[in-house]
Amino acid sequence: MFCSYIIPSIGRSSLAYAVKSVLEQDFSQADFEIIVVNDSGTSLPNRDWFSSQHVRVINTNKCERSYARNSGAALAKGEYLWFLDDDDWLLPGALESFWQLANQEPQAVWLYGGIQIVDEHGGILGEINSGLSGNCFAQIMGGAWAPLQASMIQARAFFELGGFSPFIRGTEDEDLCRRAAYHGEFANTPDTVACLFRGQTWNTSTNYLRAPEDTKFSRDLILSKPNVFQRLLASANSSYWYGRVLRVYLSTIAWNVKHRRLFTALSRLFYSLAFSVLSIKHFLSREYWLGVKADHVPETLHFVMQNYERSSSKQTNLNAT
Amino acid sequence: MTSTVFCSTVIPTVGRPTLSRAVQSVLEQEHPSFDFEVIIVNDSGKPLQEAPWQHPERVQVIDTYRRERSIARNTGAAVATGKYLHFLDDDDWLAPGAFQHFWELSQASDSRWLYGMTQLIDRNEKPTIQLKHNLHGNCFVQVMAGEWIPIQSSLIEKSVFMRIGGFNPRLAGPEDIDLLRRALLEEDIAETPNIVAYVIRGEEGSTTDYQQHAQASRWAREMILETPNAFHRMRSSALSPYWHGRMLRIYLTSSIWNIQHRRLFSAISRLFSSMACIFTAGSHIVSGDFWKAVAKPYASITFQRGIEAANLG
Repeated sequence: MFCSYIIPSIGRSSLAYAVKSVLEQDFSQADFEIIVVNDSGTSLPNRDWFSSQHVRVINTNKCERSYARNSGAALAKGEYLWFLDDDDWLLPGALESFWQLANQEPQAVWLYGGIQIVDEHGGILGEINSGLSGNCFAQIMGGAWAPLQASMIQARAFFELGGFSPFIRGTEDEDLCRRAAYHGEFANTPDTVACLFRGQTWNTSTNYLRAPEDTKFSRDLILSKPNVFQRLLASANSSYWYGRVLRVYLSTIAWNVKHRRLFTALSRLFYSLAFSVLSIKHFLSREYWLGVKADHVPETLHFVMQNYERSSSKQTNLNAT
Repeated sequence: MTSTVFCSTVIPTVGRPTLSRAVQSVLEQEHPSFDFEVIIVNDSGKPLQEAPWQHPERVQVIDTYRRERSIARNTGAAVATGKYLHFLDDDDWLAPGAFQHFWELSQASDSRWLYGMTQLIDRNEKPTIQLKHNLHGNCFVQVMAGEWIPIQSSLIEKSVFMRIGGFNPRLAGPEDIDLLRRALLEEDIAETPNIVAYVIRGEEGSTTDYQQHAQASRWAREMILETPNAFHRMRSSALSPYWHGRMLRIYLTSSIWNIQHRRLFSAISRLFSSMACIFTAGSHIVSGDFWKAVAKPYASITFQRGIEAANLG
């Protein structure tokens, strides 16, 4: 089987739209399946897509989203896994694009395309595709975005990585992406393959209050792995990304000091110095210092959403559970 | 109590015929005071053979697709509705009345990891030794040193299991002891002095990869030593010169492991903790037991006791 779609759901009505966007793909080259992980704690209302031979439903009992996704993955038979949420959907031709990409780049562990951000009227707020391929560890660690909803992950790699980490909440998708970038190569298609809903009525089950802290924790765990330094160095292909890597090391020194992990902080300081020495030739570049200073890298959700006024955005974030 | 189901037994299976015995041993735990369920995680990649126990309402079968045992168990846990989780393998079985002993223990104790005695069985299904641990409360240093409480003889509160992240799917073999260590880093344990499970222990025919076991076990222990609370928790569970010595040995061997893996700053950190062990051991360092514990690799006290009892019998 080529691909397994895993859709964890908390019972939102938009689930049907997500499932249908997969079932309606015009694709016959290989088999695919949809695994709906119903984590709502109650049974799902019966829908016409229940009877589709492509669909299976598993009922988990109000776990964290990472557990729900990992449980769905455990059932999956596909060579590739594609995680959607119940308020996202695929665009026509997405499966076909990835079929071709997977055949061209069979070694890639993470395949991804562009993502469209839409509001409730179907208006397009923006399209994002960071276009990274090969070893892009420095870019992903530095904050570049390969959205999970527009990504297809090699199943074998997913299980070698241990799946989603239940310790990283809110940004567990980015954590998986960083570990995948450490582990193997990426492949990109210029096609826009999925839609992310971010309209006024968007609400989230994500605990974004924990997200900044967990993101730092996630980065720090990865920096503790062997050969990280070499892999960062090998993938930093411009002055900007050299600057970005330095920023990653510097911010983790502060994080470790704050958590009273002094020896780890010293180790990170040591690597920061080593990286600075190796990036001396970039010191005169404006791009380098931009990389060190910038809060967000280009082609991320931040730049789409900063111009979009969400009337209740602050409230939504604070009320998120 | 929020959940009406007392306990969910999760049985991952690769389709061995002994599965029926395992399931039957759980279904026979019927008791008016509590409810329970069985979740069979069929990881064989093929449908299970029809069996009479597949029909009762208590039993649910999920089909995972040839994953590691940890992944199968975590999936079963995600589906479970019980307050406690119980993990059985398809070649082990429960003793009659086991759940009743656990139920009584849960009424008497606040601990969130409950366990009972284990009867070990060899591959020919002959009883070998019994494990009676006598461990209560905070036993973190004991399990870090190498004490093993079989998961088959334990009930773990589901909320604890989820909080500590479940089984680590990247550990093949020592995932049981790793879970126990991570749980005891935060939680106390309580024992019921009754045999609750029959557990087969032998390398032949097992799905456990013993080759990888030792190396993965060391790596997992390192990850636990990284956590900020580990030193204090170990310190408060070391109540004799012997266990103070064990604690020192854990940090010293960890220093060496980190040097071998070229993690110099971690090695220095462990050496620093080793010095703190000596400092906090106080007058215990003049005890012979302290230095005996530092000098020798750990041999399970529970196993020694079991072997002695079997020889006498």
